[in-house]
Amino acid sequence: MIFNGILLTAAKQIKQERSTSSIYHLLTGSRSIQTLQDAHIFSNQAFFGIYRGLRKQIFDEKITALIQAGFLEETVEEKGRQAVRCLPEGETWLAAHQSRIPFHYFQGFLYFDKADVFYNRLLLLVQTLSNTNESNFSFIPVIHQPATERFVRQFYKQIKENERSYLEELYDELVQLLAAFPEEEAQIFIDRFSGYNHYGKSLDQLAIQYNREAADIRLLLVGMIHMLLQKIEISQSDYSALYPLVADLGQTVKLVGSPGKTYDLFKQGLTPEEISRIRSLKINTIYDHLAEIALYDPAFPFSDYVSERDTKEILQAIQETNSFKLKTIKENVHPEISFFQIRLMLVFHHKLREGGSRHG
Amino acid sequence: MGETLHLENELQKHFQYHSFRLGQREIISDVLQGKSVLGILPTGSGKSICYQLPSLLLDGLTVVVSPLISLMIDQVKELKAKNFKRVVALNSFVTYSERQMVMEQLHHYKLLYISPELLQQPQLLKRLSQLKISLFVIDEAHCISQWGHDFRPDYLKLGKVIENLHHPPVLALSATATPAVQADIIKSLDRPRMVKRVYPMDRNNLTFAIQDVTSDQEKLELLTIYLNKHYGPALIYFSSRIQAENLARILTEKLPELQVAFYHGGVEPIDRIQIQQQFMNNQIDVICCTSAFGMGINKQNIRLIIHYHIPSQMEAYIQEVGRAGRDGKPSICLLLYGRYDAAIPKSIIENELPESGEIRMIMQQLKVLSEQGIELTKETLHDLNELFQISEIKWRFLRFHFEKHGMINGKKVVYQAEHWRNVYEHLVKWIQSRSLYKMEELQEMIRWAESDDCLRKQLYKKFQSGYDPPIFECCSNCGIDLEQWEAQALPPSLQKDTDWRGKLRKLLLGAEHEAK
Ligand SMILES: [Zn+2]
Repeated sequence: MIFNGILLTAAKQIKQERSTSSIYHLLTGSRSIQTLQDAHIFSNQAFFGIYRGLRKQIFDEKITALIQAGFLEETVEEKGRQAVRCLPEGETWLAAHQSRIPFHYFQGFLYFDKADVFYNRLLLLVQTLSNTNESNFSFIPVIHQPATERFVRQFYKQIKENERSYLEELYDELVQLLAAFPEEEAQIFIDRFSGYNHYGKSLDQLAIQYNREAADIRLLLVGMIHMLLQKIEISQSDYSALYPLVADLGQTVKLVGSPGKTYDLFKQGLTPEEISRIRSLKINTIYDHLAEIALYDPAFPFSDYVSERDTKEILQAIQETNSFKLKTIKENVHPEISFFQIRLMLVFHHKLREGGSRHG
Repeated sequence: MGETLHLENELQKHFQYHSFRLGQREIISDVLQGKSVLGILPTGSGKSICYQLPSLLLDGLTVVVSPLISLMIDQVKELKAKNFKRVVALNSFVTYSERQMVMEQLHHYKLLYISPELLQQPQLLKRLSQLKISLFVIDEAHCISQWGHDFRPDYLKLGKVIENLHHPPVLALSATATPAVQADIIKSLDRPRMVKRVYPMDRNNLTFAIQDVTSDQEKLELLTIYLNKHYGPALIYFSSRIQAENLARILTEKLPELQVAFYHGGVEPIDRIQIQQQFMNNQIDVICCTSAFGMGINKQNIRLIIHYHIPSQMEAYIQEVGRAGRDGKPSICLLLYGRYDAAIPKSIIENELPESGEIRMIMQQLKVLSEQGIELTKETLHDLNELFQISEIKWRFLRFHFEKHGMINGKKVVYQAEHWRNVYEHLVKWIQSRSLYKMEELQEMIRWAESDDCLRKQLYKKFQSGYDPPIFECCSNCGIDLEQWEAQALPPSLQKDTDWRGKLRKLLLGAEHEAK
């Protein structure tokens, strides 16, 4: 139900402007500029990266089922461009189930990176402390990730002296946080933990036990983690046991990898052409990076790249066509305006709208 | 004599075992004398001691190549728990920066586990070649043989690696290798004078049973009957992931007193560990699984192994049933055989390697890339994959051969019409002969399933002459009486239906707080 609800909502919000695969990229958290921008433009930020590792085949099967149920429709334009539409039956279904799907848990754009790290640390920490508390030092860790294992090892060293009081604090904090959820959700959350002489349930086991779909169990856990993260970050001092698990994760959204390197050069005042030469990357790749930078950098100098006259023209085209499609807009502006400039203006338009009427 | 005693002392000192198991001492003393050895030891016989102990006694580094990452990780954990600290594993799960760290410190280690892919990295290979390698171990050595049941192209490159490491002594280990595969291993490694230490793989506590069925419905009925008898922990092997999942659900409904779960390669890592360990911990009674399950699992009291589908090879079957009865107590191996099932392994064999049409298409596309001077980057490879939708295994196979024949050199495609045509013909022929061989293996398995002769005798005859008399019942062809088998009491379910607060309290604050 949760998975269906999210797919239908995402489809509804993209207003026939994109295909189903854009929803796939959204859920799996693809870092492409297109996906990042789309998430903003269509207000799908909450769902960004909430289902990482989703296999394309599973996704396609789900979409096919929704199409067969008459909830979704895939349309093909004369130019062969595909789009997806949420049909009235789909909207009716959504309206009927809205109250039972915890949409408000999800904050993908804020936590898509942190959620996994935090959850893995929590699972491994609970398992470790549960064992050490019983003086058992040989158990098979449920998380096999050197970074997570190192973190927990390090953390354990810090609290070893006061293990008992730490455990009591951790217990109190988790109880307090989980009590805010319906009983069954808290139950599912706890059943997944491993500890002393006990190994937690797999997603599929939980699905059978609670008579839900495995995908829903997974999404529910992700959503719950987002809620936990939000509460922990807002009132850090109230969660002195849990906050250290996220304290080092820093800025929620940051530019990493190749775009990050471009950003460094950009801040030194280099032009796209110079950056392209220095990094031996195609100029279009640099433009991709700049569009991403524009999205995050509050002081991005749009006017360096798009003249006032062109800005007006592009924004007008966006308004008139009521479209966010690069191609549609390109056809409605004078030919010297590039795709890169249109993309920057889409970001600009989005920032403008978000700043003016946040949540309005 | 003195040396023998010395070895037992070392074994006791480092591993807390009192005596060697079959074959271990012989292999270890060969290795300590600098000989290269091919060791064939049955599953569960403690193969790893054969290199773990020498690694401590030899001067220099012991390198263990293993294709099974989870096994690698488990072994490193076990060794560290035993206070063997100078051990490390390198595989694709280890991040680049961590790899760098390990490489710098490599001279501090005695034992290095490494996956075959990583051994292809020039930087790592160079670093290794600067060190003294006292022993080069190839675990699951049958993977090197194109006739083995688990051929891995990366293994074929090991001969070259050994050369780069200045020819250290080699220890090749396997649990299942027919004489033909043994010969192939020795040939691939180019070590004709390797000492062969081959030990019998028959297990006298296993009873073999085959039940002919004509439909999946009948299989389900039989499964329900057998599992209802509560012989003890059970594994059910499937050829298909979906069927393993479905049956786990159906059996959960039909047998509510049993805990049934499923496991296959598509299950995510945390869940794989949790399911495995629940089984070890008696939280689960039955696992519906594919052949992905079982590597490195060391549960002593598995009483029943059922094959829902016929395996494609005797070797694979022997390895899978070998997980039953590690404690030496009588255990049942049951095959539910429907003639209609042969279609599944047949199609697996047919789809395992690329067809001639696929090879032609891909070569054509590579040719286009070379003409346009396009490099094989991650992106271009991704696009190629999108275009042909070929499996990872098929692509790795082709890439290996293209590189071997100089058609791909690093990121460059090197086109040469005649050479390419020859390679194409060679590959097609090779694939055909391999498919043929696998089909023959499948036929052999089917003949076994349909034979009226003693199943034990027929199963092991390809590997050894003769076998131990069974300690309990022999096989369904010799006649067995299932009433003789004792039911085992179900372990009490570990997790009672307490609410989540109670469960969390028990987890974090311990059992004595449970009732607070
Ligand atoms: Zn017999």
